[in-house]
Amino acid sequence: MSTAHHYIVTAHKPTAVTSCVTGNFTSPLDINLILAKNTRLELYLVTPEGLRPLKEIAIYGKIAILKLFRHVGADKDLLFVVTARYNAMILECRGEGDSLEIVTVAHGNVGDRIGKPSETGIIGTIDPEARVIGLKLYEGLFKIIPLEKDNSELRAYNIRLEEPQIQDIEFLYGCPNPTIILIFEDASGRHVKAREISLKDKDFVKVPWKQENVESHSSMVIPVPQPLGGVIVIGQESILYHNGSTFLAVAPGAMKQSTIMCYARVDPTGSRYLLGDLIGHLFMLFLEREERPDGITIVKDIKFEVLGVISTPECITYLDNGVVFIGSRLGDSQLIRLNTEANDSGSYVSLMETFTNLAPIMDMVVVDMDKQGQGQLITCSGAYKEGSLRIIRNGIGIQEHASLDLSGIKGLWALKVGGEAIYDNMLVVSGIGDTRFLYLCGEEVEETELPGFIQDSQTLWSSNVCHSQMVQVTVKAVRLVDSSSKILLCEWKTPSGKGISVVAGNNSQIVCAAGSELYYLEIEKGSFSLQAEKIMENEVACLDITPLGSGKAHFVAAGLWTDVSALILSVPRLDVITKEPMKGEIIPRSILLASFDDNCYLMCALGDGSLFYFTLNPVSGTLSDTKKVTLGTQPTVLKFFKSQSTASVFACSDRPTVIYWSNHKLVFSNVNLREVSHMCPLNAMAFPDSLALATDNSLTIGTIDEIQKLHIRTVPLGETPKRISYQETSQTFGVITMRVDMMDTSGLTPTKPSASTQAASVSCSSSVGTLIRPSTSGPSSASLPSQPLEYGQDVEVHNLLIVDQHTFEVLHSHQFMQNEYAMCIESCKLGEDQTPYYIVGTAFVVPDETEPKAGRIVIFQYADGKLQQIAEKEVRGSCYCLAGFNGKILAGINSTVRLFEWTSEKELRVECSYFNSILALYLKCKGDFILVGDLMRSMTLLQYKSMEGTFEEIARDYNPNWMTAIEIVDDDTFLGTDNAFNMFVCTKDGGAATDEERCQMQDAGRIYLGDMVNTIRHGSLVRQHLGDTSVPTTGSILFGTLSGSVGLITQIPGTFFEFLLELQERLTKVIKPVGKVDHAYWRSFYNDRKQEPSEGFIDGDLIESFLDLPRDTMRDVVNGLQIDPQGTGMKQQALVDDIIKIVEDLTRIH
Amino acid sequence: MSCQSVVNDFLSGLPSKHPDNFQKWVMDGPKSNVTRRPASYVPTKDIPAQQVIVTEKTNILLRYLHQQFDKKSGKHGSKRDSSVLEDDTSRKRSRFE
Repeated sequence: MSTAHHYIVTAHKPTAVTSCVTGNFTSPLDINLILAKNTRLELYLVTPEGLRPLKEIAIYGKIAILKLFRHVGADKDLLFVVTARYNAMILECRGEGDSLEIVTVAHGNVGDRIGKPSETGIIGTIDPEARVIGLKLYEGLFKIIPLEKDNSELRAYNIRLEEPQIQDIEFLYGCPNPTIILIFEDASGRHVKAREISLKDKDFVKVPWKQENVESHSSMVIPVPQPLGGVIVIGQESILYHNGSTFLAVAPGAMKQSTIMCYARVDPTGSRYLLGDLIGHLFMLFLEREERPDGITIVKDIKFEVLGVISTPECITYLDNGVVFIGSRLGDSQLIRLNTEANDSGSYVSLMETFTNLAPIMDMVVVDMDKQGQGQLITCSGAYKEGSLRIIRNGIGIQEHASLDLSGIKGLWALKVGGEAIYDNMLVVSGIGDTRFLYLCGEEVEETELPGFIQDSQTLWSSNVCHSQMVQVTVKAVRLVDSSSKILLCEWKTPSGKGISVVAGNNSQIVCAAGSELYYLEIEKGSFSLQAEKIMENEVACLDITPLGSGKAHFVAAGLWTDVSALILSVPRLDVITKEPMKGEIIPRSILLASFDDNCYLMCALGDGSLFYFTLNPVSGTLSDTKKVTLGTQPTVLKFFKSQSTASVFACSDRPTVIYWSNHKLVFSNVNLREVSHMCPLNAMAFPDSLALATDNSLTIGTIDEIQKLHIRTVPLGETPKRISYQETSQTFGVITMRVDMMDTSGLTPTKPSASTQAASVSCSSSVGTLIRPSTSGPSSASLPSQPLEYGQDVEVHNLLIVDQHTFEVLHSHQFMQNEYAMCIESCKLGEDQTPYYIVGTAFVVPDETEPKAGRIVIFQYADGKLQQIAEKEVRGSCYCLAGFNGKILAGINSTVRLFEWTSEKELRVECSYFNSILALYLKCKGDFILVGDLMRSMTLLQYKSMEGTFEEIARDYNPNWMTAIEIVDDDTFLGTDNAFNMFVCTKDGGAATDEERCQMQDAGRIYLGDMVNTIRHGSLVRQHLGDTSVPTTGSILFGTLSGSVGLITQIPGTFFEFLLELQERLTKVIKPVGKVDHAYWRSFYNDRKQEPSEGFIDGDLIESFLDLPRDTMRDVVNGLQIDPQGTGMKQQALVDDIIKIVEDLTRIH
Repeated sequence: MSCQSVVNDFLSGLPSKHPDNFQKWVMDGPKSNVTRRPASYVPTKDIPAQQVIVTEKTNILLRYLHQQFDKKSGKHGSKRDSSVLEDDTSRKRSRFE
């Protein structure tokens, strides 16, 4: 059996918040917010400045339950987590700051060998007095975990739960024995029942109270703490408070519009709650109390009001001082503040912060829009009012604010001229034999003269310096000018008379070289003082004297010609402290001392675009940990700058890069500009926190994006995007969207404005109400419904949006017919016709039909700002997928795959069909091969025989996998994902001996992802790597998931796979996962039929965590590991730095 | 009571554990936050768990029958010979998993 070798890694971590809790986790006084984002926990601390991120904790499983609880008498909370594969864990936080540890105090698998998984999902609840945890994992069973502190075993047991269709379960407050309250449904409706548990008998013992026939859509119970006790039952349109003896119900009008999704208790006594609904209303629920003469507090009234609009909430938690976290799965999560006064629009909510969320990614395309050899990802993200397109780009964008035609720039500095200036107001632009001065007056830039400065010579360095002075260094002299009077105060020339070749300086120090002569000057009021001079053994190629802390610099860095070395010299004596040779003959061009959060580095860029960097000891000046990366192909200039107070280095070259510090590592992020020769930070009045950048023939002033690896831009649509396709010729995207309209007296009306209703131009498939022209033949027209819609009924309306690729403006919106759902879109050319078409597949959805019986394939052309329907073809079923296939179009229509050809009459005609599917949901093509992804019968490979005009089934995977996405990796390798959150690879073996073997796909690899993959596309987010990379990867495939993560898969050779597998194996021994779930268990393929060990995949997330290990631990991991650096089979002992280099190179593929 | 005053009642005196929290927040429009994620926690310390969660393997019906039997035998100690209870020579093999 052949095994394929793949490396899989998360390029963008999940962003959907599925659950959030607040409590005292890190210490008794800390207020923590803990978020669950699919397979990760995020831990935050509430501070006066806002939320401070503390830790991100990987959990080996998809988090299904997240709860905080506190033992009686304890002063802080414990965290209880259950994963979708039933791994339960109780976590405690010990220590603080960097030494914070998440300790697994209890763990175990709470799954049973038999049992039907709970149809209403996993429900978990904890007794308010922390006596027991209750879990509903399977139908008909309630699992109790007694929380006995002193036992080494927590013996969980099942008790029978006879109530059918349980909607929600919670523990009640103030009960002598743990007592649950549940909502269940039977033939007569929904009912609420309290049941007391006897821990001794291990069973339910009695029913303290129940209420039959509560509102028929009640779905949520909120237990109310003492002194009130009892429970709030949330229905579709009403709220019921019940405490067993008395009850009170209200039906507020504000509830009618949507469904309550989640709640947060505001105060510990339980009179105030916040509720959120599906369309993003935030409500208050207030239990008004009354103290009766007998001293018993009762609920007098239930108040319910709208507070404002928020993101569609999945979970809500109250933090402190009126600040609330809104966790969202369908849109961006939010931090909001509740104000006592309403704003102008009547809202009591003000938005403090939004947390970008890509989830759910329904579809995506990878497009190289800037034509710079680097893909951008455009995703269909979010749903309903949170629907949006997201543009995800690796690297940092520069937003251009001004540009001037100016060529031959050799240097660039910003100055504050005039004694009082607080903003930069002058740009010094040096050419090869002259210097220009550009005065920044508002947004105007005008060339001027600067008294005291020389204009007819190249400037080597210029800056504002101490004592309100300015410095200009030319080949001839170092000149000191008064900043306000602009009078030349002093001029210093080399004693030897040699011209200055290289110079560097800071606020009070200058170091300059003339050939191999090196001088150190200090700047005083009105003069320079030469502190030291020295003859170097070779000519100086580059210099730097950036201070590593505040105050003066203690080191000079220098790069030398001839012996190609980097030096650290002492200040002021210029003694050589460290000399570091750099292998090779390429001359260093730029050297820089840089400190990022007290981590000091020496960086040295060479003439070939490569960069050496060393860790610098800021006290002794010694260098260690030599590393080399290739940034570009041209000489590189390094510049230190700060953007939004983040210390960064800008590497100017033909592939400009920003280097910054993140998560204890240096990160290299490319910039979306073709070439930058020089740059300087600029903080001018009209251009605050900006950069001035010199390119080949222009000078650009721009601001830089927030410094981060992936940059995400949001284009809100206000309706659900489903599918996207790119058309290069028309420079547009075709986007299938769905909005919800409501039937009212005037017919169907959109519930609110959204992209399809606000488009520049609008068209529709036919008048609303008439579905298909009566003349059409076939079974479809007869079966279509004729019953009118009810008043108030919601209807899905599907649209095709044409979106401009540059502005993301919706150029046109085409509305499909009533009941016609657009399922898929493809952009391609057909037959001899050179016109690119948008082709949309649709289905007529009738509520009573199990599968649609009719659909259409509609062909559109977008040209000259107009969308035209060119042709349509009725089909007998839902057209789930379309794929352009050598000038023809392939369609998956219910259980068939059909190939249509484009006739000269511009009509689609069926050429051939394949019938052996349940539902052909996905299609991918390569050459003559077609991969079909089935609803429940995995993948099938077909070949189109052009001579015969038929399909031939080549191979099939006989495993009954329920597919969510497929992709062809190469001619023999096929990738699929299923709805049990696995990814797997099948191969075909054309050379097998028997027919039977040939027509059976081989299972060649599998891994559990814990996330639903909705889309897989070939493409890369990074530019093809340059120069020497140590990682032999082939191809790049991206996938987008339900929880908003983006992953990458690449093929690797067998030897490299074996090496990484060994490294992975070693890492599993060193990294002690939170929750003590075994890595092999976590990644093993798992569905309701089988569990098999992961194979053929390297877990890149685990490999990359090598870089987060302390160096000692790295050494333990690497000890005894063999590598084959030349690929010759000659293995040698790996060093820590070898492995760091390999893993760092692996991080750069995404 | 008007809606306004109900909302005011609700929103006044919201819980405050540390009055300073969020007070230094600069409210100059909402901040968009893309990747301010906390640093990854990579645990390398092997701290043994104090407790292991296990599920009782006993069938619910058997457990119920045993309990009923224990209750009964507790009540009427004489009805059944206690030696039967202590008899370990059960013909059934014990479960190993």
